[in-house]
Amino acid sequence: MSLNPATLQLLSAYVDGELSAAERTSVERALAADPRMQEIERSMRALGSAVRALSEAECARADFSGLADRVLGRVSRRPGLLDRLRETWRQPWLPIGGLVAVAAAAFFVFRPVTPVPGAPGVVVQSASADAPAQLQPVVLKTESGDAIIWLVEHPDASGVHRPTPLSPDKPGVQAPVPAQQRPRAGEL
Amino acid sequence: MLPVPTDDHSLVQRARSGDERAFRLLVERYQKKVYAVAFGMVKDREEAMDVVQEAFVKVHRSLDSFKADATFYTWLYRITVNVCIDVIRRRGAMRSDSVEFDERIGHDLAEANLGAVSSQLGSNPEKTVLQRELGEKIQAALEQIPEKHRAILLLRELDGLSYEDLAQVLDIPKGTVMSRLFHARAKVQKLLSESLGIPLPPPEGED
Repeated sequence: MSLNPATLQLLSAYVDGELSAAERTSVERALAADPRMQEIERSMRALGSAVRALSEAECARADFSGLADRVLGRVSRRPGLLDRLRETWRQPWLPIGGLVAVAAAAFFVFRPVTPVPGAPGVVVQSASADAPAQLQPVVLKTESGDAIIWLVEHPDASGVHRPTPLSPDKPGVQAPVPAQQRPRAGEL
Repeated sequence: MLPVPTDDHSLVQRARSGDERAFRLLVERYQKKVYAVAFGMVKDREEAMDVVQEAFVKVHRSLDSFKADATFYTWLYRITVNVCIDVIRRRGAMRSDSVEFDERIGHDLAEANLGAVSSQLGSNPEKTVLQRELGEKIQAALEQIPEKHRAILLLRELDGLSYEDLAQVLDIPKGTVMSRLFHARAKVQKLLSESLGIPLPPPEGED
């Protein structure tokens, strides 16, 4: 058995007592034949003993008094908000549920708004009238900047509005539209 | 009256149902072992003691998720190693990429005069290592290897965990345990032979 990494790996497992009977026999044969391998084995064992000795010396210096009380003191208190969030987030279903919720929220916030057929992008800018006036002006502004001004009569006895389009008197104001294209009272 | 069982599983069951005394027994049973691993990992007494505390608090908070077929101490060590790694990362001292194992180490180990490391430690390494200078050199060598190598070496040497247990604690296959442990030992021995000033053997063919 030559001293290559695979052999040394087996030697390391041999030191740990983790080899099968066949592997152990093979390593022992190699050990008997190779003094360098014996030195490395001694070195591995010595390192283990040295690490244990250092650790024991360190533990002898450490003060464990009151440690259990400190631990119990902490666990009997309600954990802080951050700790609770951390623990909650570790639940496997939460990240998935969270992602679904975020995706759903994002869909509703950022979904494209489909314009209403016949009135694309029209918004009511303002609607006001002087108290005694018979007619109420309604300004509809399109997304392109054009405006349509309607005068809406006060409701009569039947409660139905009768919109009366005004002629535009300045650029950018559209001409009255035919009756079939006018918005119905309910749309305003 | 039958004596109250105090094996780990019984204590865990009792602690789960709110028995503080049972949990205290678990803490007292394992605090020294956990501290030894924590100190070996973080190399600072105060931080190691904080790790012990944090590990037990985490254990207590996760008692309900502890599986009956698992071993308490492998679970505890797993939590401990994770807390240690968190501490080291917070400290910004992760050096895993700078000291990754490379295949040459196996050959270096074969080439280097590593037998001399054992002769430096003598026939009684437990006693020899307590000489300040040698102890410091071993500590320094341990500090220079990657956390994953240090963790596996400490768990094996300090607590004698089997390869099966190490695989569970570190969440790696058993085959990886074998190679990682060898790499850890090889790295420490090589660093140690360098710091002890042990000369490499002359190239073959020279006297």
